[in-house]
Amino acid sequence: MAEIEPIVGRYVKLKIAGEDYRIYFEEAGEGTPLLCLHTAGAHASQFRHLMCDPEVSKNFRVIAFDLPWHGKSNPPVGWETKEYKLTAEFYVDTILAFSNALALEKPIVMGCSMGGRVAVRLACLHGQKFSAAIGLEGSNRPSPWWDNSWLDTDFFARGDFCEALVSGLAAPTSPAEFRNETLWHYRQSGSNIFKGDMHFFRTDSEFEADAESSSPCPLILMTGEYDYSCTPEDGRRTAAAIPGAEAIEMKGMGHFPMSENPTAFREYILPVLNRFSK
Amino acid sequence: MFESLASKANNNAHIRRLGRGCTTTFVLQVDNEQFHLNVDRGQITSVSQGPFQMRGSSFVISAAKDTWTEFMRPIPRPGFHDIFAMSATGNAKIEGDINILLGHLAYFKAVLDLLRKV
Repeated sequence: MAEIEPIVGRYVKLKIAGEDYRIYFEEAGEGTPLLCLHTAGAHASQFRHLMCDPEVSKNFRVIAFDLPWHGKSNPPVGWETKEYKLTAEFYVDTILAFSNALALEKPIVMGCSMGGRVAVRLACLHGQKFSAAIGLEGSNRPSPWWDNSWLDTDFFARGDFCEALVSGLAAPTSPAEFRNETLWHYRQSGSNIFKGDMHFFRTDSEFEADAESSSPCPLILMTGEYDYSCTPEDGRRTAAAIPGAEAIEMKGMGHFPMSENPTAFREYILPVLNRFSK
Repeated sequence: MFESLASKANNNAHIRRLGRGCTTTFVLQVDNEQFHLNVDRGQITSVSQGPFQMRGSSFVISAAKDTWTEFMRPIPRPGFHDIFAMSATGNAKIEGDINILLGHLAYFKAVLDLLRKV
């Protein structure tokens, strides 16, 4: 009998910002819902290792969806004449609409990169809806390492460019197989979709917590030492600005912990997740 | 420092394929010493060491010798493991016609990765 993974994929119909979307999601496990958000220009497969880890799935219902325009989720009807540009408002609306549609009860939200950036916003503005927020390679504002004028080029239409642009963000210590699978997701991305995500990441994601407000839910920022897009220092700086937030540095890790080095990542994430298992 | 790069890159069918649309001259600079690399449709046809008198090129990647040495280690330290990491951390400068670099980014990164392979 061939090995069949425990991951199950389905589609849910959502209305977001007045438009209809058909959203693909995957899940595995039972227990506290763990809602996972993929990186820019990628899709939910980044979390496949977590879903297949019995130590995780015995206590957590791990759920990850493809954002509209990504993976197997559709763009809206009429996409062919629209330019995709992710905004903070649409991103938050999408996550909350998905969580509501699946009737998730106070999930832990865990996002990576731009998903980590939005996790900070979710914790501070909607923290009462979540048990905890975990930002992987997430901070509260961009730390640009390339010039925004690159977004005016046509290069983002090409998967091989998007792949090469982010290739150095995966750590050299991560296994080649999983580092390359992570980069493959960038080759798969629809033309200019990574660029559309950069609209949020680069220009619409900065979030300064009110000095008097703290996150209503625990906020943990976990950052890899090889990540030069969101450095461990970015994580510590963000955590210091938000009362109750915590920063954890992951040694030997890059920008895509759950997919580039699942074995090393589980050593970091299991103790964090187990704080919140029921 | 880069003399063996041509034969390694030219003997690698995958890398030649990545660069098949690339014809240019780019520069790798170590401290103040320049190496001009001529590329013709994915083949490195020459690696020339300066000094030069106003020889043109499309782009220059310059870093200190210690930075390049760290980049070439099998597992470089964080900040030295990729040309963009070196740029982000201030350990390297990338200047010139950035569009040539970006237009063939997978090729140039694969060529530079050869510096790391024994």
